[in-house]
Amino acid sequence: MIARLTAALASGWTLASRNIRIQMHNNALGYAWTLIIPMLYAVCYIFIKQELASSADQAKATGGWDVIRAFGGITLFQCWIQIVQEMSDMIRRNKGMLRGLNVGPAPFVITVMLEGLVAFMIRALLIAIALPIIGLPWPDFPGIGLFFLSLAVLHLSASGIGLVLAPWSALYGDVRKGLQSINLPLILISPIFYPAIDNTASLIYWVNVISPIASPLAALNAGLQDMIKLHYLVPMLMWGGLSILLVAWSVVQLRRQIPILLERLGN
Amino acid sequence: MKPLIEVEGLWKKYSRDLNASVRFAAKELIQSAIGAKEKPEALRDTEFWALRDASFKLHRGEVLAVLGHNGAGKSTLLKCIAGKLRADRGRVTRRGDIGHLLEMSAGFTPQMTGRENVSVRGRLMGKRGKALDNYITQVAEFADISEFFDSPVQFYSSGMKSRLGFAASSVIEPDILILDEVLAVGDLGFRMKCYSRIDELRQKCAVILVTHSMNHVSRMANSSIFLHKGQVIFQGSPQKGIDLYHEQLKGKKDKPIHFKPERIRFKLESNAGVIEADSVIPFGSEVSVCGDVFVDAPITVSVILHEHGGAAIAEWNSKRTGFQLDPGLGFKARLGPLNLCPGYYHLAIIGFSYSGEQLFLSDPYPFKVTGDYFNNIRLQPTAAWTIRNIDPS
Repeated sequence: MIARLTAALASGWTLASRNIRIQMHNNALGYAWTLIIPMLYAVCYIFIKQELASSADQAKATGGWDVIRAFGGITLFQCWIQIVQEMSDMIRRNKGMLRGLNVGPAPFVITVMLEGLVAFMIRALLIAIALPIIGLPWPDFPGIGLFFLSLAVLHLSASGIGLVLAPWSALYGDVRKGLQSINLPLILISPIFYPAIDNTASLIYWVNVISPIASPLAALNAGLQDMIKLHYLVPMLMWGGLSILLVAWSVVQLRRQIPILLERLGN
Repeated sequence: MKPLIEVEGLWKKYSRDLNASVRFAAKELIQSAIGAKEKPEALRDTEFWALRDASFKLHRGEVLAVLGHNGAGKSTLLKCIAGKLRADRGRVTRRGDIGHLLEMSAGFTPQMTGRENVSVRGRLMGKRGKALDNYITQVAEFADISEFFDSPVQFYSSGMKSRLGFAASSVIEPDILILDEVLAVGDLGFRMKCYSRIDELRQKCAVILVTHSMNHVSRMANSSIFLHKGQVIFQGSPQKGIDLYHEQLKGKKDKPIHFKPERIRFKLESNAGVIEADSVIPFGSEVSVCGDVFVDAPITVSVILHEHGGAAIAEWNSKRTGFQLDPGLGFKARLGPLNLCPGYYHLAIIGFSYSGEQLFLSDPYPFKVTGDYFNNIRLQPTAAWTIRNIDPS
């Protein structure tokens, strides 16, 4: 069991490093794109917020944390949806290797998870760099812990949801279309361009509780400000636990599902 | 000694309709997720059996040729054995590592060099450190694509890709080896290397071979099964399997091609008398063609020999010997011994005017050549073989 897991991890790492090299090779700006797009969003956000604020003082009052929330929210959301998409497309993309080599689905799952881990680490670094640039302090220990725990839950929930969707995405192109179409609604209902709402009487609070990215983003923002908000911490932990179960269950299922899917995927 | 592979009553079905197939898959996914019985054993609407009740055993050192025409179920059988498809009924027991040459270039990334791709392939096969280095060296030597090994695969010719794919897939030492139409890669020199490699491998493992090349079957296999519409209709010696292959090939009727066939009436003769159409001629029989021609102008005659359903393989043209035929006459042409690979053939006769205009093309005259099968080269002249001492110089 341990030997198989080690082999799957090694294979996953091999494929992940290959994919990262290809990505660097294919795009002249490489990983700079992970910075450019959220920066553009953040700049737009600052501009609009300043234009809409009734006074300059009002704009500056909470401006720094707002910018970090928007910048961090967009960059982490992008990363999250990318993992969901790549995980859900994993079978279709690797059907040649699944058919032609003596290799099961586990290395491909690990590949996406490792690439996701690298992507989240890069974004965490970007947020850490952005804090002093905007003039905000780095959080203390509990805050840092919550920050990384939130990242871990985001990563796990993206992997778990992507894995559950993977067999269906292999059969139906609508799954990929669907994922593309929920981008904007998910951003709009998540605490990215507005602070997380603590009012339990509000419908948007409950929408955020059941959203797999809203509670981690809310907890992450709270962590950056050295605050612990149970309103979102508990749903986030529940999502974390559920995601671990989803990943484990899906990997077991995939071993039985792959032959069913390979039969239908054609050459 | 237990067989390395045991296939017992294997059945596999497919759907003819894509939408239905996807619907069935979705149902099976849900059933698999909830732990219900996953596949109904009976055929559903649009389904057909691609494989029906296949059974065999294979020991180390044995080579089984899986024969059959397109759509017979050969690749389905291999994929079920390799675990790439799930059989609907039956069981496959494998004892030992399985190696398959099914999609040899699988996983090659065009932007990466041959070396990098092979390295990734080796790591996926679980090789690390020195074992990985050895693997890369062996693949580089076998593929023999010199400095291109360190160039991106996207710049390779299709032949180079095939070489790299075969090398990367065949530098393995499995207990069970599955080969699906993979021996026709690269140029003749590389093909000889491939044969030699497979020869090496088959000494140490059990091989299942799918090919349309009867040459490979007669050279490598020591048993065969013949699949027809998913059903094993023969199991036994490769020679009999090859005969059956040719029988089946003959059964596939081609659309007859002719042009004013009423202008020629002809028959084949051997020393034993007239050879009726669709009859049997032993290897090496002396054959003549006797024909009556009904045209108004002098002609030259061309007798053309075709393999069944395939290309022309020989021509006896009367122009070569300066023979012409005037109107109202017949002809007899002694073709000599028909030293042909056992199988199905047909003769056709074409008449040309002096100006080269084609005046007629006869209906084909089919016959079968019988004898021992050695390889699939069509023309197999005999020679006068003698022993001589080695020249000391």
